[in-house]
Amino acid sequence: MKLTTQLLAVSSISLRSLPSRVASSAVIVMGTAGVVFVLLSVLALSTGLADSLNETGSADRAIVLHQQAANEIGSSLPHDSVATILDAPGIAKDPAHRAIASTEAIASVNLPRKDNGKLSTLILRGVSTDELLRLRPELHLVQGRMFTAGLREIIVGKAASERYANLGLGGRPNFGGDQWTVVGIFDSGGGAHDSEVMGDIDTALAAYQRTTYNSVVLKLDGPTGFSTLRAALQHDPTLSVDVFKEIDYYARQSQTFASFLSLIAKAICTIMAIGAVFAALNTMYSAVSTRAVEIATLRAIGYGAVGVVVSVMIEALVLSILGAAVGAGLAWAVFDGHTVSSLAGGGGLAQVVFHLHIGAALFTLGIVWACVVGLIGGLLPAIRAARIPVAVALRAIA
Amino acid sequence: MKYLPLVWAALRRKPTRTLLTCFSIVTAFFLFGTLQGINVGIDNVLKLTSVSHLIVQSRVNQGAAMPLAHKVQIESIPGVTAVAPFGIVIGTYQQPSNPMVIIGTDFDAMLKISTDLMVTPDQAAAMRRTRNGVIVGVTTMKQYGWKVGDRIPLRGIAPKADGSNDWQFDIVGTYTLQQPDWATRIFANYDFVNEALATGKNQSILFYVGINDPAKSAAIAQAIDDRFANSPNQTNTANEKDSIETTLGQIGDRKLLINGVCIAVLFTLLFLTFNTIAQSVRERTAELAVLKTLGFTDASVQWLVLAEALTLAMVAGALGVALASRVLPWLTSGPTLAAQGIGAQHIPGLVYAAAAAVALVLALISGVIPAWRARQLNIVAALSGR
Repeated sequence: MKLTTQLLAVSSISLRSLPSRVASSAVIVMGTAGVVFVLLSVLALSTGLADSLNETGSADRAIVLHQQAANEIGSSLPHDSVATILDAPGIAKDPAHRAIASTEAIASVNLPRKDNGKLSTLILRGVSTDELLRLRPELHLVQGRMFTAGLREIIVGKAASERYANLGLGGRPNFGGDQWTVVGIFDSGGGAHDSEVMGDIDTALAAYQRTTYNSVVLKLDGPTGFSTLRAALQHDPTLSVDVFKEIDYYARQSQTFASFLSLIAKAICTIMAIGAVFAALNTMYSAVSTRAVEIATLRAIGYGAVGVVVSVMIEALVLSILGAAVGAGLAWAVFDGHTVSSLAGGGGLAQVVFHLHIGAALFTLGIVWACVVGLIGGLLPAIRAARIPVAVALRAIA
Repeated sequence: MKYLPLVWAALRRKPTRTLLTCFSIVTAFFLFGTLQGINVGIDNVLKLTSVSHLIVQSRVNQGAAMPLAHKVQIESIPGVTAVAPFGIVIGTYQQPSNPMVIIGTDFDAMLKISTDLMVTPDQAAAMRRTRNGVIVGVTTMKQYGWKVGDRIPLRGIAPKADGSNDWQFDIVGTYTLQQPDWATRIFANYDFVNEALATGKNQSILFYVGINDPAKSAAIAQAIDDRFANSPNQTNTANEKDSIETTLGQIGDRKLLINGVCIAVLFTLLFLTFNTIAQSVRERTAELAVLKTLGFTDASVQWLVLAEALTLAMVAGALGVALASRVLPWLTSGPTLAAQGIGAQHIPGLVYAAAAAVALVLALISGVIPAWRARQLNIVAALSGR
């Protein structure tokens, strides 16, 4: 008999007999479901945050920071450096031949949250008013108007406006000892800026009695813009700055937090998976012993050991994949689309609001984990099944 | 007790199954112990933090510096007994991978405010005499093998006023706390640090404020914040507990996460143990019938099955928690936690008790149906194989 026909026949027998072993089979399903549920729920946090930060960055923008500054908060650029940076080649120009760039300063501010009244941190970003919309075309106002330079006016990101008291249109929050007026609400497509508040750079610097900027964000002039700009900035002896493509910068920002979370998720889930493997072993051993006569009969009429091994493995796999589907479905039903916030923006100092998203990539990961559990849990029992002495097993009937 | 051999025999009947179930329970309780240990550990940090003093931070920006001039103004508020500033030097010791935070403060004021800080009087006096003196927590002393009298060189992140990055501190004493593991800070003299700094002079990232009546802490905190309400450097004052809670709260809902994981783990486990016991009872139908024939009552057969579940859950559960009690202190003894004043955690008694209760409930729930089946067993039907 051909191996494939054997495999098909034996596997289909073992799968069709599953209903008679519902209770013990459910153990594998529940075990892997638990592992996958916890894994996906925690990973949804880290991928949700990474997605949000990655959306913030664009490949055609670059960000200039002080040398060796890990993030915007830790960077400080004096006024004359900024002027030199804006004169560098590789930056796209507007119709009036000015660099499309925003010199920015950020301050983290504490405001009471709407839901529990507790203070929570968000970022006030001073931006170059003239170039803001040309630099960040994804940003558009959904309510109100743009702030006016020189006045203490701000526009508020959609997510921030929903989360904090006093940040609705017309709200008058207090930053740095002054009252500011919310004149607009903006949407930048789900990135980290949606959790921020933006105002005119000079007004913001004055309010905080600061004289240095944190960063310069600029639009690159075509695909070669970045290398031109980087070469120019690095070879200027008066500057000590680093320049990153914005997309790389935000990817790096999300990494610390995301890798911490996924480390926790993987540590917990590895331990859970070990538990689930024991459960799977248990179930499959008992499945093999209930089916001992049936397996022996198959062997007696000429089926090979390989077929038996594979059929047991397939049964364990099917059950664990079923469990993965249950766990992933549960995680999706409970958490997908939820809005959460975590301390992750501006170098871990400000809250970023983001959505949990349990998508295809996470589903696949869940299935992979389940398969590993199923394979390990099925292997030893499968070998035992293949080794059952035919005569002994058949004699047990009598 | 005389049933013990019977329980033991039942468990040994299928050693693979018992062992595997046992391992699953061990892993589950290991996770339960570790996670709840962390949970309760954080709660304990919160509990041990005092409400007897206040912490003033910048409202504008957590961790942002406030002018030292705030100190005098806070001292003038009724109910305030002492104010200690925190001027921070961040540097590395020997290797870039050994980050170190030196807190420049008024150590006498710290002693007055923080009554749990234990220092011998002559070491406190030495701190007053030695400008570059530092008082180091016992845990940090042990970690780096320092002795009183040692001079520790430090490479600062930011340059000093004299252009160099090198700091020298003399260890004049050590402090300990009721929880010695948490004595991880390094205190220096504010004046010494302030003078040497190039930037950020006359600033403080927080003020420790002693108050004469803990019951009035909320009113005094409000009075401090009101004092600076119209200044560019607004303050946010809270007792230590609230302040830590706010910071932790921003990271995420820790309890929900941990409890969620524990429930998922235990629920899965419930299924497994139930299955093991049920299967074992099913297989032993004839044997149980024999016991009944020999004169065992329905009730004692039922208890026999329950005892089996209990033994399994209790023994494996105890093993799991014991494993966790070994791993947790190792897990929480990292240098990053130590820098925040958090030392190695041990599983508190409460978690042991909770684990025992969970094991009990687990055994009862998973054993009750098989036990009831064993009780209902009809001798004739069971023995004739019907």
